[in-house]
Amino acid sequence: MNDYSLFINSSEGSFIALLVYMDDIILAENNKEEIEQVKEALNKTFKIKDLGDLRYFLGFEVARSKKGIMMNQRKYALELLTDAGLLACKPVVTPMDNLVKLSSIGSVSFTDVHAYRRLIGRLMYLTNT
Amino acid sequence: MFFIEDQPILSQSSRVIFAPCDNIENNVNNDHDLGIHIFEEVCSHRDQNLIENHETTQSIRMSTRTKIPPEYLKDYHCNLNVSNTSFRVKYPLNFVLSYNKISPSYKSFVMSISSHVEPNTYSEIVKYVCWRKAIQCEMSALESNQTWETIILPKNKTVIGCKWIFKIKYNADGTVERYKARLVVKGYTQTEGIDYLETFSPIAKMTTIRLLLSLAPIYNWELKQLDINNAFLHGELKEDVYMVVPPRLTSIQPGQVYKLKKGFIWP
Repeated sequence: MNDYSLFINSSEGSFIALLVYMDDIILAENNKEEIEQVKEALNKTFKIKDLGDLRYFLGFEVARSKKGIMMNQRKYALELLTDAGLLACKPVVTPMDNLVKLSSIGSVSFTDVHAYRRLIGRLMYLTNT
Repeated sequence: MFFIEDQPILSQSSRVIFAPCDNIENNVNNDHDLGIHIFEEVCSHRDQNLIENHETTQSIRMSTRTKIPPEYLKDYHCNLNVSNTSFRVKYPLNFVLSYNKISPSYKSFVMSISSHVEPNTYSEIVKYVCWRKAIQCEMSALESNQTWETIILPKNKTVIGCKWIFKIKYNADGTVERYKARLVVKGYTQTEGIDYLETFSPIAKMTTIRLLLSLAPIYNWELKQLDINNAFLHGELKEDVYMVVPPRLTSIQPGQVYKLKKGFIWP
């Protein structure tokens, strides 16, 4: 695993993992006192805000229970549908015409290529959960 | 937030019209004795006609009209419950959009998250006091960090644009905590090697995030979320970068630009 935004510190019995995503930080720890220390240290260098337990991160909604963690991208999916203008549409088995022949030559390209690419990228991100 | 389940079909089904193409065959039958070259001509004409027909049926089939859901359905999630079995959808929406399995407190949290809309452009927000305050807050934070100095643009230098990004930050229970405005530069007009030499994006891989979140319940870790108030980077800039003055509430003299002294964020 090679990820330069994950910072780990483990000593006997205690473990700290700090995950940075631009300005969002997740702290995972098994020691409550250590959490306070890390927060204190971070607050000295940067101005940070404690958002409490992890609830909403990178489009994921996170719910914690004793049995485990539940994550969904409900809000992300809804926003995607809104932006694509498909919010009140009916779901179908095949969302695309299966008789369309795609070719790189001799046909008219999409009118808005960037919007299409953005949509594909967002759909790929949606498959994370 | 309300839900309508089994919403009847609202949009009228678009009519598919097939242009008649059998008249060519009639032509062929009538001009039987005119020789083979005419037949060939008709054939090629017919092929063309077929292609055209194919295209017209496709363009009719796939409506290019942008579908806008009616205004009264704005607060509803339609077609959540696909109950009829003839309508077999592999990944129905109610798999990901089911509210039955989640606890009441979490439900109230997710409802309040989608009841607020984040604006996209500067012109949308100037009406609202809360967003204006957020902009002022970000500007004063950037100024106190000495991110830039105001100068007149030197000759033969180009400026890069900037953009406001608006976000609503929520408390853990889903109530609005604050409105946040962030200024980003449109750095994509720069060229690597000429305008800048290195970029840095502290982005975690998705696998790392998943790993951390899946390990947390196993080892019973506490998961906390922190947020850096102003995400200006703390590195000093060596290159000369000039940025246009963002649209803001106080006016500034024309011809002036900001010369950036600190690193900045790309959108």
